[in-house]
Amino acid sequence: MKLTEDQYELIEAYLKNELSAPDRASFETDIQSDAALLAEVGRQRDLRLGLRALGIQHVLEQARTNYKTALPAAEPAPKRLAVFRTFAAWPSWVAAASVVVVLGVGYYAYQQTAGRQTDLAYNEAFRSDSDLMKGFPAETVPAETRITFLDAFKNYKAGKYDRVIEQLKTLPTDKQTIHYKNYLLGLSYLANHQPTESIPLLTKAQETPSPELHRKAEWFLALAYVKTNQKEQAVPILNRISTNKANPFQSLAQRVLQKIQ
Amino acid sequence: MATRPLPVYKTELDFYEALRRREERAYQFLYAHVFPSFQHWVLTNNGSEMDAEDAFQKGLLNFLLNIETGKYQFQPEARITTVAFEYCKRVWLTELKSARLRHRGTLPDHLELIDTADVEKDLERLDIVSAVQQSLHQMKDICRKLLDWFYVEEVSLREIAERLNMKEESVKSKRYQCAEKLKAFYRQTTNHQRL
Repeated sequence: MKLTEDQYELIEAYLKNELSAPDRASFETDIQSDAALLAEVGRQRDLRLGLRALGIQHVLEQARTNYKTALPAAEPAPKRLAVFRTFAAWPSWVAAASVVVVLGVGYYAYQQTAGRQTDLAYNEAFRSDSDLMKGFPAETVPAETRITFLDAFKNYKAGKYDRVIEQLKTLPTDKQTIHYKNYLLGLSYLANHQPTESIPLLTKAQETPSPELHRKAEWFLALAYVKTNQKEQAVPILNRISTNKANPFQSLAQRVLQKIQ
Repeated sequence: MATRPLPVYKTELDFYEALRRREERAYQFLYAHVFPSFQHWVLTNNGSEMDAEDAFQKGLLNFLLNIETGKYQFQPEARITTVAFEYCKRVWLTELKSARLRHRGTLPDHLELIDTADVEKDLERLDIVSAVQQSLHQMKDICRKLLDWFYVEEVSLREIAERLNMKEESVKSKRYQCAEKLKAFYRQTTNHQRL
């Protein structure tokens, strides 16, 4: 049965419980006497349910991604050395070799611990950008480009970072979107566990004239440095953020600094 | 931004309302508070980590759909995380029971006695969801986006009109045409699958 636009709107209103009591009663009488109309109502109800479920699935998928991202990396602790003889009983060359080994293992353990600290700090602080429209130059972007970005936002929210990277890499660059594109591409690389690739993009994104976008790019750049264990690069940025009361990432930056220093 | 700590809801009703409004942070809160114990439960009941994730996603989807459609109403005496756990648990029990039928095995008594009839009905609904999803993928880009925005992301017709640089009235007509096309694809899909 092919519905007219009015019939379609009437079914929508019925399913959304927006009809007045007399209209509802009259429509229900129509349904009971028209099997084809009844089937259409059933199908439209299914579509509404299915589409509603898709909306829930998107948010659920995002919650799952955030949950997994927040889990600390499960790394084995460095093995402890077993001491089975007194130092004095060893020949001198063994003692010298032992010192080298102990220093080497100690340095390795130190590196591992430092790496784990930055990993923990990163995992605790990194959250997906849930307000992607902030800093997006929606007013000045042509409709076609805007649709591509809106689609990329949807993929990003669904945790399909590979897909976002693919979309944005092939999107022609223009003056209006270059900074935002660099930001979203960098953010997607970071969320996709490719922090090294995200660094040059987030650095460039900071050239934006939009203060909101600049703040976001700066924060995620600091996290990318933390993730790649480049503390000397991360600390000055985190210091800058943590001392700026107006910066929405201030308290997070303070916490990351405490963890890595 | 989703960068603040997870919310702590003052009351169970606040939490319920946040889930009903599909607030992302409420979903995250639910995930973080229920999944670890559910995963442990599945692992101790013949399941793997993948089984746990699968049953958890299905169980939560059913629970959240029931909240949004009003099938599950707020119950002051029941903790929401406990109810969510129960939904997921019953999904896994249903899977275990159907596997037992396939392999003619037995289930432990404490699991056998739990009634999963309601969940089976809810799970049948997921077939409808899957058919709608398949039908949506067959649509042309513009229709898919329009329906997605309106029904999935719940964007208003006015905002969609702005996004597409169209008049609101034209968007309304377009939505009708797209919904009718979707319905036609859905009819084909369900006939094919005999839903």
